[in-house]
Amino acid sequence: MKIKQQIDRRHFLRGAGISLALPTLASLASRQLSAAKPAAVPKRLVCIGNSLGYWPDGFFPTVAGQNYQTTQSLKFIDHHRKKFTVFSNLDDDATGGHSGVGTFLSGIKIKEAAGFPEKNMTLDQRAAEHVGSATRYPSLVTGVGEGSDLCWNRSGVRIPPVTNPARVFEALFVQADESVRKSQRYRIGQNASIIDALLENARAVKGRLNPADRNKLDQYLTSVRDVEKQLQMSEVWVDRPKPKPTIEPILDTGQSHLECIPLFYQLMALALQTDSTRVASLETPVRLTLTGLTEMGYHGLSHHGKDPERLKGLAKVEAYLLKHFAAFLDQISDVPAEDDKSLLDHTLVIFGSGMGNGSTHSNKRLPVVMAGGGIPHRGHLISPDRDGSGRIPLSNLWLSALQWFGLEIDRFGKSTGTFSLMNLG
Amino acid sequence: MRLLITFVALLLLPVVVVAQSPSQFVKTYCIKCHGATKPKAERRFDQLDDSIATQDSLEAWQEILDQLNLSSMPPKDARQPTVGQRAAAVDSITRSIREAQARFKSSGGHAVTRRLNKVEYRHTLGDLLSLNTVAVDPAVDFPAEARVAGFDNNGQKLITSGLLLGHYLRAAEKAMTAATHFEPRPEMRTLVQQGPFRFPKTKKNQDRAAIFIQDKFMPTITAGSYSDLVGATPRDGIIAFAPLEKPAGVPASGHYTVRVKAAAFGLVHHYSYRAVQYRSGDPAVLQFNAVQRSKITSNGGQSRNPMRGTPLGIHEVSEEIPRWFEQRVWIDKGYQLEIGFSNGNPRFKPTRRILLAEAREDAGLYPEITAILADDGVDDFLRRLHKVYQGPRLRIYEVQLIGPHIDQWPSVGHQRMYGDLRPENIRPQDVLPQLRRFAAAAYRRPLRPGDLAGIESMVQGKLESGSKPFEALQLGIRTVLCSPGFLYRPEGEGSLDGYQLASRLSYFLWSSAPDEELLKRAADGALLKANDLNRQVDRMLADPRSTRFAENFLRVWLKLDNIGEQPPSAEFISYYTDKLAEAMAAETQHFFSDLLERNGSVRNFIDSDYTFLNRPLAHHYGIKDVSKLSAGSFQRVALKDRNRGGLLGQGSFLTASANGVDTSPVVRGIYLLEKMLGSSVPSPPPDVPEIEPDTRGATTIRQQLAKHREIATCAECHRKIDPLGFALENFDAVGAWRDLYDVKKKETVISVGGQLPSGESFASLAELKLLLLKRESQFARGLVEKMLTYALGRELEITDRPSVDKIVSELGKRGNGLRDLVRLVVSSEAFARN
Repeated sequence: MKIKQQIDRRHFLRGAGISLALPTLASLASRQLSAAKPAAVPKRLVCIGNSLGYWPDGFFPTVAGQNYQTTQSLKFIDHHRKKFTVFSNLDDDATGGHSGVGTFLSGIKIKEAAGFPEKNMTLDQRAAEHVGSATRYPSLVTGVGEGSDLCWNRSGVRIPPVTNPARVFEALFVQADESVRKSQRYRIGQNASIIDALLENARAVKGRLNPADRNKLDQYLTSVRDVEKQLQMSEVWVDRPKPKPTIEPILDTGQSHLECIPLFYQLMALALQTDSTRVASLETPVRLTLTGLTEMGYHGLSHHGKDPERLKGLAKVEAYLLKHFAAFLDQISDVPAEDDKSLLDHTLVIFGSGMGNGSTHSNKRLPVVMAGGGIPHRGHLISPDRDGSGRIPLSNLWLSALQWFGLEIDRFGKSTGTFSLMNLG
Repeated sequence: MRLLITFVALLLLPVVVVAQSPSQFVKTYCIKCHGATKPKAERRFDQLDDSIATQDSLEAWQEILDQLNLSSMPPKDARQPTVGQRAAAVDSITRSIREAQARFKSSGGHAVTRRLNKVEYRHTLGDLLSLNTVAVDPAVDFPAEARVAGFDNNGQKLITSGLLLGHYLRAAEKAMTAATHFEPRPEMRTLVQQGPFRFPKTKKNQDRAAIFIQDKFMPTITAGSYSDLVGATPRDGIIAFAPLEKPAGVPASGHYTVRVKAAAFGLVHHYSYRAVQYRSGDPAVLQFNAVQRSKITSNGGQSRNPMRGTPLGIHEVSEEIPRWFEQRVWIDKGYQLEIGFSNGNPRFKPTRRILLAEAREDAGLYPEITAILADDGVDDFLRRLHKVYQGPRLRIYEVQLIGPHIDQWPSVGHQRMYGDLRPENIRPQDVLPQLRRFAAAAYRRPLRPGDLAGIESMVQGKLESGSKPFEALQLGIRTVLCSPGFLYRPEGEGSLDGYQLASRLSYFLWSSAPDEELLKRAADGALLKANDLNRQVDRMLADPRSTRFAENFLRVWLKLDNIGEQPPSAEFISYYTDKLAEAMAAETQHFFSDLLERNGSVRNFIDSDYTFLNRPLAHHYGIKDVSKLSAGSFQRVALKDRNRGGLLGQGSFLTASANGVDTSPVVRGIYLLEKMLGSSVPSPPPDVPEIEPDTRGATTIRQQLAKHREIATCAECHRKIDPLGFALENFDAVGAWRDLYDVKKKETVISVGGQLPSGESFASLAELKLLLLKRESQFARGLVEKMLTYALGRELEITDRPSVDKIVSELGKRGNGLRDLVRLVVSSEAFARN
C-alpha cells in the first residue's frame, strides 16, 4: 500500500516525456489497435544520447572491420562485438558546440528547423508516429537533469525527458484505481469540449487576419488537432490494464543522477519487454552530477586541455556511461523475443552524441554506435573522410534505420540517400 | 537588418575592396568545368547571377563559398586565383548571401502576430488572475522559446505546438483553481516554533518528514532551546517549520511575516578554507525559503545549490547576541517554510575528514580537535567532532510566521472570473454575460462580434445538456485562457489602434497586459497622442512591474540566460556558496534600472566609475573594504579599478560570455562585438581547423590564434574579434580577476594588449574602454536597434533605417540618456505602426 501513497495522482498521464505522438488521421484509422493481431515480431528503437560526446582518442578503434583492437570506451561492450557497429566519420555538419548537440538525431540544426516541412524532427519521434496508438506510449523519453536536447517533434519543439524514474515506473506499471480513472475520463471529456470550441473559435478568428497572421493561426489549429488526437488515444488506453511489474517498485527517493542512469536503462528494457512502448530514449546532460565518482564537474573534465589528470577523470565518467549501456545490452539480449531470438535482435539501439569532441566543441565526426536489430553488423565501419568528396551524412544512416523500422520513406533530415555502406535489412 | 549591421560594422572596420563581382569570379575560375556542357558533379554555374533571387541560387552560392573557404576548388590542375582574389571573392559572396538571406526571411516590416512567450504568459496570467507568478511560475515546464539573435519574442519564430497547447490546457485549469476563492476570508494567525528544530528518531516522530529528524550522525547540532546550522545542505544546515508540516503548508496564498531569532558563532575561525569552504570573518547569511515538500524529489543533499524552493529573503547575521530578523514575504498556498545557512559549508561531510586529517598531521593546528583524537573508530570521532567544532554556526532560537495579510477579499482575479456570482446562486442566464466580461479582460480589449465564436456555443450546449451553470462557466473560462484571443496579439498592418498600442507598450515595459488606465487611454484615443504616450511611459516606469523590463531586456540583449546554462566548474566554490549567479544578474539589473531612473547616459555601459554590489560580489571583484555592504542588498559602490567599470567588467557579462570552465577570446570577442558594437559576426566557414585547447603550456592561446589568423579566410574576421576578446582575458570564466592562467605557473602570465583593425592600440582593458568610448554613438545605435527589436517583436529591416537614424540622432542631442532612449523608441514611427 505504501506505493500508492507515493503516487501523486496529478502526475498521472502527465509525465512530460511520456509523449503521445501523433499519427496522421489516415494512419490512425488504419492502425488503431492493430496490436491486437500480432503478425511479425514488432521492431523497437532505442536512442541514447550524451551531451559532451566521448573523448575521440578513447572511443574510435584505429582499424576497420571486425578485427579491431577494442578501445577505452568500447571495451565495456566488447562481448557484444558481433552485434554492434561503431561508425567513424559520420555527422550532419552541425555547428555551434553545445547548441549543436541537439542536431544529433534529426540532422537539422535547430536554427534551420523552420525551413523544413518536418522541422528538426528526430528519428525516434518519426518512429513513434509510425507506432501510433499500437502501444500505450508511442515513445518513452527519459533523461537525467536537463538532458541533451535529444528528442524533437514534428513542430520543431523539444520533448523534455521524464527525469524521475519513479514517474516512469508509475506510468508503466501502476494501474490507477477506478475513481482516478473516472476523473481521468471526466477530464478527457472536458478537454475534448474545450478543444472543439477552440477549433471553431480559431477558424472564425483566422478569417479576420492578414496572410502572415493567418499562417500563425494555422499553426495554432494544427496544435489543437494534435491535442485532439492525443485525447483520442488517451481514451483508448485509459481503461486497459497495465502489465504486472517484475521488479520491486521504484519509489521517489531522490535518486542522484548517477543512480538514475541504471534505473532508466532497466525501465526502458521493461517498457520494451512489456510492449508498453516500442521507442525509448535516454539522454545525459552537461550538468551530470558526479558526486562520488570524480572531484571535478563533467563539463570541466570535458575541457581537459589534454591535461592527464582531467583526462583520467573524464575516462571515469565515460566508463560509467558505457558500463551501464553494456548492462542494458546484456539485459535485453537475455530477454527472449516472441520468436526464438532475443529482444536485442528486434531492437535497434543507437548510442552516441551530437558532440564530436567536447574539448574543441566540434559537432563533427560524432561517436555513433548501432547495436542489435538483427542486422549484419560490421565491426568498425569507416565512412569516407568528411572533408573529402564522398562524404556520407549521418542522416543517411538514420534513414536506413527508419526504413528498417518499417517506414516507407526515402528522405530524412539531411539524407542524400540510404546508408550505402551497410545493409540494415 | 543585416544591411544595417554590415554598415555599422564598417564604421569600425575597414573592408577589402572588391575587384570582381562574384559572378565574374565564377566565370573566370569555375565555368570551364561547371558550365552548360557536361557540368562536372552535376553542378552548373553559368547561369548564376549576383542578385541571388531564388533559394536554389542561394544554395549554389553557399556551396561555392564553402569550396573556396576550404581551398578545395578550383582543383590543383586548374587556373588558380591569388590569395587576395580568393579572399575578396569569399568576402563579397558572403555579403551577397547574407543580404539574400535577410531578403528571404523579411517579414515586410510587419510583426507577425505574437504569441505570448513564456515570460509574457506567466506575467499576463498572474496579473489577470491575481496570482503571484514569481513564487509559482505556471510556464516553468513549457518548452523553451525559439530565439532570433537572442530575442525570444519574435512573432515569426514563436512556435505553437500540440505539446505547448497541452501545457496551456493544464496551466489554465491549475491557475483558475488557484485563483478561485469562495472560501471565507482567511484569518490572520501567528504560528510559533521554538528550538530545537529537530526531533529525536522515536516512534512518536516516525511520520515526520526527514528534515525534522535528528540522527546521530547529523551535524546540525541541537541543544537545549536552539539548533545550530553548520552547513548548507538539508542535513547540515536547513531546518523546517513544524507548525506547517501538517496540514501541509500555509492555508492560503498571501503575504506573511516571517520572524527568525538568530545569532552566529565561529564566523572568525581557524580552520583551513579547504576544509570548511567559508571565508573567515564573513557574516552568516540566513535565508528563508518557501518549499512544496511533496515536490521535492531529487538531489537530496547533493546539489551545489541545496536550498530548495523559492528564495524569500536573506539577512546577514554577525553577532553572538540573538536578534530578530523579520521580513514580509509572499507564500503560496500549500508551501512550507524552510530556514537555511545560505553561505554555509556546501559539503560538510568531507569537511570532517579533512579536519581530522589536518589535525593528525599537525597536532598544534586545531587543539580542540587534537584533544578528542582517539583510536576508537572514525564514526565516534565524527560525533565528538560536532561537539567541539568551532567553525561558523548559525544558531536559530525561534521562528514565527504571521499572516496571511490580505488586502482585498476575494481577489481582483477572482472577481474578474466570477463577479459577485457564487456557485450556489449562479443561474444559467448569468453564465454567458459573465464569461464575456472575463473574456474582455483576458483579451485586453472590448470584445468584437465573433470573438467568442465556438466558445459561447460550447458553453451554451453544456447548459442545455444539463451541466451545472457554475461548471459551464468554469469550462468557458478555461477555454478563453487557451484561445487565440488570449494567447496572441495580432497587430494587423499599418497604424496601430489604441488597444494595439496599449498592448505593445505594456508588453514592452511590463511584459504583461495593459492596466485599466492604459485601456482607458486606448478607449478615448488619448494614447495615440505623443504627450500622453510620454506621460504613460513615465507612469509605467515608476510602476514595480517595470522591473520586468530590466530583467527581460537584459536577459535577451546580453544573453544572461547563459549564466548557469553551462555551470561553472566545482573549483569556483564561492560562485555557489555566495550565490554569485543571482548576484551578477542583479548587479546588471540595478545598473540598468539606475540609468533608466535618472536618465543616465548609455556611455556608462561602456565605462563607469561605479557599479552596484552586494558584499559577496564585491568580495568576488577583489574590493577590499566590504564592511558597509551586505549580502541582502545592492548598493552603489565607487570603483577604483577602472578595469571593472561598465558592462565589460561586470560578472554577468563575463560569465555569460564564457562556458563556466574556461574563457575563449574568440567567444568573448564575438560577444563584445555583438552586444556592445551592434555588429554581427558570420559563422566560421566549414572545416577550418579547430582550435584544440592545450593547457599543458606548450603553446599559448595567443600563439594558437595567431596561427589561425595566418589562414586568409580566418584572418578577415579574427583580426576584428581576437583583440577584443584578449582584452578581457584577465577575467576568468566567472569574472574574477586573474594575472596568470595557471596560478602555479608563472610563465602563464596573461597579456591583454592589442590593436584594433583601425590601427589604434591599447595595453589594458581600461585603455580599450577609452577607445570604445570614442565610439559612443556606435554603441548607442546598437542599443537602439536592440531595444527596438525587443519592442517590436521582429527583426529590423532596411525600411526601419529612418526610424533608427532619427532615434539615434535625437538621442545624441539629448545626451544619450537611457530613459530618453525608451521614450524615443516608444514615440518612433516604427513603434506606432505595424
